[in-house]
Formats: sequence, C-alpha cells, structure tokens
Amino acid sequence: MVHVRRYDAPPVDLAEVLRYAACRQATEEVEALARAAADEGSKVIRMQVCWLETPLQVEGDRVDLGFLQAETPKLAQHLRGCEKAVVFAATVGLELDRLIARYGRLSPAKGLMLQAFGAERIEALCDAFCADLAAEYATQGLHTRPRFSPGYGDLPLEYQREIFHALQCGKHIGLYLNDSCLMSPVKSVTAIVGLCREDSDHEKGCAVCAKKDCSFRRG
Amino acid sequence: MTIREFMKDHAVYLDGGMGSLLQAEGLRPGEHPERWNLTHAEVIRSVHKAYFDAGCNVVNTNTFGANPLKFSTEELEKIVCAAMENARAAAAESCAAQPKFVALDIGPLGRLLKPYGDLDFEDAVSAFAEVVRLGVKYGADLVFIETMNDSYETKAALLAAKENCDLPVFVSNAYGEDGKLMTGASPAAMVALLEGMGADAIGANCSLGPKQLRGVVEELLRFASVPVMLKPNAGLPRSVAGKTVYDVLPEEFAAEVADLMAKGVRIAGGCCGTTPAYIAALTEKTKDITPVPLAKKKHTVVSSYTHAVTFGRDPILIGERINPTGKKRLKEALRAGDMDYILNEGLRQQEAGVQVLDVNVGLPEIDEAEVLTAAVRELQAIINLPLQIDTADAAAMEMALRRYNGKAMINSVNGKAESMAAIFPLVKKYGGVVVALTLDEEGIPTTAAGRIAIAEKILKTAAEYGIDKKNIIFDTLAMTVSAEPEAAKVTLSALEHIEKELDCRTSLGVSNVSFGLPSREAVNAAFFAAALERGLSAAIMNPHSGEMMKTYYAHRALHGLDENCADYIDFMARYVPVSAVSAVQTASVAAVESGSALQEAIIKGLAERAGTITAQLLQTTDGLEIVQQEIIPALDAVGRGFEAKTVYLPQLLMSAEAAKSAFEQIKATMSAAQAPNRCCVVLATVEGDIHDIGKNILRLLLENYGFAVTDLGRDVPPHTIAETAAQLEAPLVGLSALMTTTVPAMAETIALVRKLSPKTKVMVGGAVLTKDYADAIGADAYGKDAMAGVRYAEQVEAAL
Repeated sequence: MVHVRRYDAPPVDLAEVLRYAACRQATEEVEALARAAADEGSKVIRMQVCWLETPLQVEGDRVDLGFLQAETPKLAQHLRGCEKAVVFAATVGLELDRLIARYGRLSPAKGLMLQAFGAERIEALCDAFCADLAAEYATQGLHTRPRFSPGYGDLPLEYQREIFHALQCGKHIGLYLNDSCLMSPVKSVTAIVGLCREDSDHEKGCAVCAKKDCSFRRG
Repeated sequence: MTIREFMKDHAVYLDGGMGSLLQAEGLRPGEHPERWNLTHAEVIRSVHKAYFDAGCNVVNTNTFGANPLKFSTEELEKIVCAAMENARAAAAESCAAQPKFVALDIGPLGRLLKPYGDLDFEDAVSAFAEVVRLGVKYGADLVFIETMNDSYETKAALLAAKENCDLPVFVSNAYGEDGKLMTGASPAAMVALLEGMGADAIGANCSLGPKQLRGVVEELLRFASVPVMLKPNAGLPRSVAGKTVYDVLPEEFAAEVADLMAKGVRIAGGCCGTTPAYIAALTEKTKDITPVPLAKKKHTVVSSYTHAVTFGRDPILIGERINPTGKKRLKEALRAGDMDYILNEGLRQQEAGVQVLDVNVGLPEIDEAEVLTAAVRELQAIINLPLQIDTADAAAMEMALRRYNGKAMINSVNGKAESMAAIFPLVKKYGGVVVALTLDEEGIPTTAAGRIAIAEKILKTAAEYGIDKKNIIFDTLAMTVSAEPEAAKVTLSALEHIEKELDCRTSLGVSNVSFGLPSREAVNAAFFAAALERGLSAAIMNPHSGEMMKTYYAHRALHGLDENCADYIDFMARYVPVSAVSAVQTASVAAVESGSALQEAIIKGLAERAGTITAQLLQTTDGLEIVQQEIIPALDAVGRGFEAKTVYLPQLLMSAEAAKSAFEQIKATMSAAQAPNRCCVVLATVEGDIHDIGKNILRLLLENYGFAVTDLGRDVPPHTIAETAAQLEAPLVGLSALMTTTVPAMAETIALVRKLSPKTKVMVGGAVLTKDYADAIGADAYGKDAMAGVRYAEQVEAAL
C-alpha cells in the first residue's frame, strides 16, 4: 500500500541555501536576501512524502521492482544485494512554485534565492524521511542504501511515469508529472531506496559524482 | 422519481469503496480497474449490488479514471457503456426497496493544469466533456465529480458537465489535513465556485476519515445553500502483514457520519477502505433521522483559488489601480504586452491592504478579450486575491470569466435591458458577484428614489435568470459634488435604502465625488466615512491614498470590527505620510557627498537606496550623465567581478535590480527620444518549456545595459519568435530551454528564424545546453551565463 506522511519543516541551513544559489561567498546584503527568502518561503511550504515498499530483484544489469523493469547497470550496481526497496515521492508543495514565479517576474535575485531555498528544503525533507526509514527498517534488521532518483546515473527520467503510476502521487501528495516527465510542484523528488541485510559503505551525495568542476559541489 | 425530486426531502445514501474490493478479487497494482467493466463484469456487478443491498441510493459507475487522456476514444466508449450496464443490472438484481440511481463517476485526469502543470484548461474541459457525453448517451441519472484536489480542474469538470447535459451534478473534493485542497482552496472558496456554477450538491470525499473531515464539513455547511455530502475514508490506512487495513470500523464510522448528518449533511457514503458493511451500518444507524432542512445562505461571496471573501459589515477594499484610464505607463505596458507592470501594480495593492483587485485593460487599439484573459491568467499565477473583472465588452467578459479560477466579481451590469441581457447569462453560467450600476436607458436618476427603482428593476430581472440577490452588489454612483450640491446626499440615501430595505450589498467608486475640488483626498475620505456609516460594503479605491486607508482602519476600529484596534495600530505604525517620505529622502541623501554613493548602492544591491539617491541626484544632474558616470561604471564593476568569479550570481542580480530602480527614476524624467537607444533583442523560452528564470535574469541585465528587450515569455511557439524577430528586424534573438526534451523546439525555432529573418543572430542558453550542443542545433552563440549573454549582445551590436 502507499503510505503518506507529513513533515514539520526542520531548521533551514542558510549555508546550503547559498550553496544552491551558486554563491560561495556571501556579502552581508546577499545573506540578508537569503534570510528574507527563507523566512518568506518557510511560511508557504507544505512537506509531504508518499511511499511504497516493493519487492526487488537484481539480475545482472536488470532491476525489477514489480511495477518497473529497467536495464540500468548503475542502478543495478547500487541495489545489488538488496532484498526489497522503498520507492518514494517527496514535495514541499505548490505554494512555493507560486512564490518563485512571483519573484521570478518581479525580482530575479529573490526568485533565484527562493529556488535555492526550495532545493535546500526538498533535500532536507528527503534526508529527514530517509533517516526515518533507516530507523524504522533497523528494527527489522535491514539497512537502507542512499537514495537514487530517475534522471540520475543511467536511470532515464521516463521511469518517472511508472513511479507516478504506482505511487498515485497526485492523489496522495498533490504531485504531478508533465509530458516531459518533469514534476509540479517543481521542488519535489522521487527516489528508490534499497533495503539490505548487509551494511554497505556506499558513498553518498557529491562524492559519487564524476562532475568534479560543478559549481554546486560540496567540499 | 428523479434524483432531484428524491433528494428534496430524503437523505441520500451513496456507495463505498471499490478499489480495495477489486484488489481482493485479484486486481493487480497498476492495472486499470475501469477495464474490469469489460473483463470482469460479474465482479463489478456484484460490488454494485452489494451496495444497493446495503441500502444505498446512488451507485457510482466504475469509471473513476475513464477519460480520454488514459484511454482511446473507442475503448473509452466501451468502458463507459459497460460500466453503465453493470450498474443498471445491479440495480435491477437488488431486491432492496429504496429508490436506486446510477451516477456517472468522474475522477481527476491525473494531470495538473497550467500555469503550474502543462494541461490547458480548455483541454481539460474537452476531456471531461467527452466522458459526460458518453454518460448521457448510456443513461446516467446524474454526474458525480469526485476526489478533485485542484479547484481549477474541478471547475473544468463542472463546466464540461453543465455544457453537455441537464443531469444533476454532484461535486466532491479531497481535502488535506489542513482543511484545504492540495492547490490551496478552502471549503468556503469551493462552495463559492461550485454553487456559483450551479452544482446540485457539494461535498468532501476521500483522503481522511469522518473525524478528520469534521472541520471541512462544518465550513461547507456554513456556506452552502445546496445539500452537503460526505464520503470519507474508513479512517487512516496502515499496513498489517502486507495488507492494508483502515482504523475505523463500520459501527464507529456510522456513528461519526450520523453525527454529521444530524448537523446538516444530507448525502453520505464512504470512500477508500469502506465496504457494503459500512454503508449497511450507516443506513441502519440513521434510518429514523429526518434530514436537516436546507437553509438558504445569504452571504455575498467571491473567491480566488485559495480563499473566499465575504461582503458584509466589515468593508471590503477593491484596488482600482489596474485601469489604464489616465495612466500613461500602464497604457504603454498594455500596448507592449508587458504584463510585469500589471503584476507589480497588483502586488503593490495587495501589500497596501486591498482584498479584491479590479482588472481593467480597456484600450481601443488592443484585443481586449485576449489581453484581459492574459491579465487574469498572469495575475492568478502569482496573486491569490479574488479579481473583479472590469470590461464593457461582453465577449471579453465571458472569455475572462471562463478562465478565472474561482468565483469572480463582475464589473458591471446596469438597468439597461441590453446590458442585463448580455451580462446576466454570464453570471448564471460562470457564477460571480455582479456590480450593478443604478442607471438605465434614461440615464442616472437625480433622486435616490429613481436609483432605488432601477435597483428593484435589476433585482427583478436577475431573478428571472435565476440569479439570487446575494450575487448582486449595487453601486449607487458617486457624482461630482462641485457640480451638483445634492449629489453626495442622493448617492448616500439610495445606498442606505438598498443596504437596509432591500438587504443588498453596495459598493462605490468613491473618488468621483471630489472632481474639480482642491485637496480631493479630504473630500473623498469624508464621503467614504459617511458611506461606511450608512452601511457601504465595499469601495473601489486607491489603496495608496493615506486618507482613505486611515478612514477605513478608523471605521473598523470604531465599529468593533478590529479586535483591540490591532489592525489600526499596525497600519499607523507602518504609515508614513508623503511629506515625511521626502524629508527622509533629503536627509539620507544630504549625507551623501558625491555620486559614488549611487555606485556603492548598486554594487551592494540596495534597490530602494539606489532609487532614492537617483531621485535626489536628478535634481542637480542630467539623467544621461548619471547613467554614464554612475550606473554603467557600477554595473561594469559587478559584471567584471562576476566574470572573474569574485562576485556571485545573487549579488549580480541584486546589483542589476538596484540599477533598474535607478533607471526607473531616470526614465520618468526622460522623453522617449532621449532614452539610450541600443539595439533590439528578442527573448523567449522555447515552446514546451516553462522554466524561465534564466531568461528573466538575462532580460534584467540586458535592460540594465540599455538594450531594447522584447520578452515573449515562456512556452513560445517557433513562428511567434521568428515573426517577431522579422517584424522588429531584431539583430539578436535569445532562446532558453531547460529540458533536453525542448531542445528540438529550440532547433526548430532557429531554423525558422533563419528563414524569416536571415540577418538575425541567435544566442541560446539553459541548463541542458553546452557549446557543442549549441553548435549542433545551429545557434550563432552559446551564452553560458547572463553576463556572457550581455557580452554577446554587445558584440552583435558593435558589428552592425
């Protein structure tokens, strides 16, 4: 079955907001803008997650989640050894899209900062949810792998369609897919989390990415 | 007996869940349950029959997801036909004695509508219309629109039903834990929208159990004059040993729903997790209750896509500033198709405290229907206030009302037969609260009695169209008191009579009263206070007028409408008289010795300060000199810093906005001929793509550098871009795309620009593009960021 959970917003990490705004060093004024965007954005976000536990089979490069079959070496490698998986969709809600659109038209600086704020929020939501998953599955003796999203590595964005169909994201959390497989609200994430008996030392986040010259790269 | 007759004096029982019962029969996850109408007709019939046996009056066909976005025309017809036959067969097979009806069930399309999704409103209407026509063809007794979590999609579905059948339409929404739809609408806003368009019953279903939906139901009951329905889940789901179970059992479910029926719910059933046992428990539990009689609510309400605004004792301010009459800048903006100016005006009025925005774009040389609809659409994308659609053109009114997300105010109708014949059918079809001017073929009566007589005539005619008087707001017409000494008194006594004797709400455009007099604000404010005292419910006014706002807040404080005078105190704390503003400006600028203060403000990105300093400098310095000596050097410093990676994007943008604010001041003092005249650049986000932040950033910077930018917006078809470039003989077109899927549209656009405007250079940018990619699709340049875009524009200009 599909589960739905609402989250209260964790504290905003302003340094992360600035990082997403591609700003490695903020002047006093830029920091004030980031804070203003975070304050205004925090009033409208509505954090929700829906998820589904699915059986998982990995054979060679092929991943089978029951509702989704894909030939994807990187995802297969990422999920090897897992016995099942959680597929989830998370969003911070449509009101933030409206706010971003409002400032995108009237103050691109603030619009940009709200974009960055949204990116920080959705990542914070995914982190909070994945931490909950880890704690909940630990009681069953299962470890969680880092989340893996369509459009990442070699998992094509088109698999969003299967994920949306299985999770009924529109009904559960007001999240929709358009013809180009992009999501509305924009600040949303779908991902697959492998569950396995053995703990692994999978690298997370920027460390696994080959694009070393990315302006958003941590560290 | 029809369902309309039956529901007049009976409680109506609906069915319960379908999906979980089908899963128990073997429906696999991801399989379309609608196909089971054809493949497992016996299973579907037995579920329907079990609900009829449990005492249910209305069974919904198994067509929740049956729509043209999911099924071919041919398969859709087969599904609806079979679904209807299955429900009919079940009704015939069931021996239960109650009257039985079959509803065509319509669920959401599964796509979000524009502007935040990609499904066009009219495409949604057409999709629903196809289903409705099939439902009628195969004999539905009513249409049941349910589980909608977006107000706009709900409107599309109801409009499709109303335009394609005469059957009763029940409309039910899925509310979240916060008591709102996913896209933000409150229950009161949904009642305004749906009742305005003629829904026969309004309710809530799915998402939560009866206990959690109590608040939503109470709000629906408070506002709805039509029957309220409730179709909750069996509480909240959880997973036990791989199976989904719900936490509310039939008896408890029945008790909670019965309690809400005692409070006024007249139509009840169940949604996810409920079974025939739940409906049986409910019909048994409530078999002896008499349904609470329907009470007609008298609230005069308009709504946006988030909330309702009620007209009554607490006066409503309607912002009048989006109206080109006498506004040169707005006229220019409208002619140039520049919506940003209108959006800014809307936001400023919202910040100043209005609850409704009047929208008037009437200019002789524009296509008013197109521009008005665009203005409504753009305003609703970013401002959540209800709008008052203001036009004398009935066709423009209809187009804008149709697209409006909510229940609009309509400005206006009057006592002329022709006016009423044009406007009342629109009010009836699309819903709305219409402003009625007390004038007719004979003109404006000079007496209060004359205006009241017209008001009575308007009410009588409205009633013939089935329009309730709560949906009419009278404007008794403020006339110029300097020309006619009795003018204000006549207006006020007509207003008082209409408020008290006719029990209708009123609105005035206050400022007409003071034409030709000095210090008009004083007269306006005194007249406004007098009108409020007589019961005025709303005023169309300028919220930037300090005197009017003071009167408004003082009136509310004096009449017990402002608890602890909090709003009044808050307003006064923020209020700065105009004379004080210039004193502050002088003081802060006096401290500034040289123009380098402006450079500093721009480099730091202080928009307000940059504007203030520029205004001051303009008193002694020529505008062009300020541009050359101050603004351009500051922008260059920031731009070079950005290129050297010592300044980051947010600061670049803040500086650009500060420079823009300085330019605004200078532009106001310059004639068009004096404006710096750099070459023309056409910008657009390509067709299929709605991500425009990068394009907006480039536009801001190009404008700062003095380029004449024509911004075509986002999701722009190739021919529009190419034709505009050709028409303007633009040396440069800038295209943006964020998604790999829209790069083909970019390539197509470039090819068309080459054909129609061969001399034009094309620059491309956006997240998915690279230099190689840009070369591959035939662009002249790749702009890796906004500064690179500016530099290329300079290069193109230099080569001209």
